[in-house]
Amino acid sequence: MDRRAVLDSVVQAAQEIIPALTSEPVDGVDVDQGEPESLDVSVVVGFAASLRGFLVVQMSEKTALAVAGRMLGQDCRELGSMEQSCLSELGNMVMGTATGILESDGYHLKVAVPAVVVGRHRLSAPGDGKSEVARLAWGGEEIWLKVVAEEA
Amino acid sequence: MVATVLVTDDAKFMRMRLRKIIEGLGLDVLEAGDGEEAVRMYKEHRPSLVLLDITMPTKDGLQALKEILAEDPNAKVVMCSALAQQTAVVAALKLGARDFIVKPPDPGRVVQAIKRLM
Repeated sequence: MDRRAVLDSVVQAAQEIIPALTSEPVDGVDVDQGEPESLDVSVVVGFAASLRGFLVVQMSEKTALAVAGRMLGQDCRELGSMEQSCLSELGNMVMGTATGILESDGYHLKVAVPAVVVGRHRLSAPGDGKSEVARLAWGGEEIWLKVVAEEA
Repeated sequence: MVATVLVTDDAKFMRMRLRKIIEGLGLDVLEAGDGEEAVRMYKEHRPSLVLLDITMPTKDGLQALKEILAEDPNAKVVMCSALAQQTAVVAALKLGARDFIVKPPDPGRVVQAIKRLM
């Protein structure tokens, strides 16, 4: 298993989970888009197996409010505890579904509880810091998926 | 007396979503935010059914499942988790969970699981 296999599974999972939660399709996927600019909101989901690292779902605050709004079926104007819970659960479901896809290929991942980081930031990567990145187009917004991992 | 379902999930959003579905069936709902709270609330309230997430802080769902069944071997517990791994499903069912719902939960699937067990 390598980072790219994890990213491919995460992208496949996101294309299933995001429309299911938001009733809005993923309009496109671009892989190998390089690093996103520092963004406002990150959902970090750790994992461990033969690879250890984390998935980061990153987006702007505007996108995060739109995602949470669609999940809750209401207008969201600030990232309060319910809105952050929506984003956390989205990360949890994407990573949880990705583990199922990876398991069908013979790989087993243990997944941690997601953490939501709000406010303009950058995340430091462990080990060699290498990552695989994909950008999803959703509802006229961008959602970035980043898999950072190293050999355990 | 109206039957009660204990919904256990660390995500407030999921608890809200499940509460709406369950209250739509005319049942009462209790909420727990992690496995430890779920075990404590089970002992205190003896709900008719427990919905239990797996990946949670403090005490995960599989450990909570073991402790609830140690307290009451007839407890009806349905796992509701994003962890779509076959191994997680098998582990939960082997421990004594009555059903397993993969997130995001389809409301019809939740209703079906509840009606079958209550």
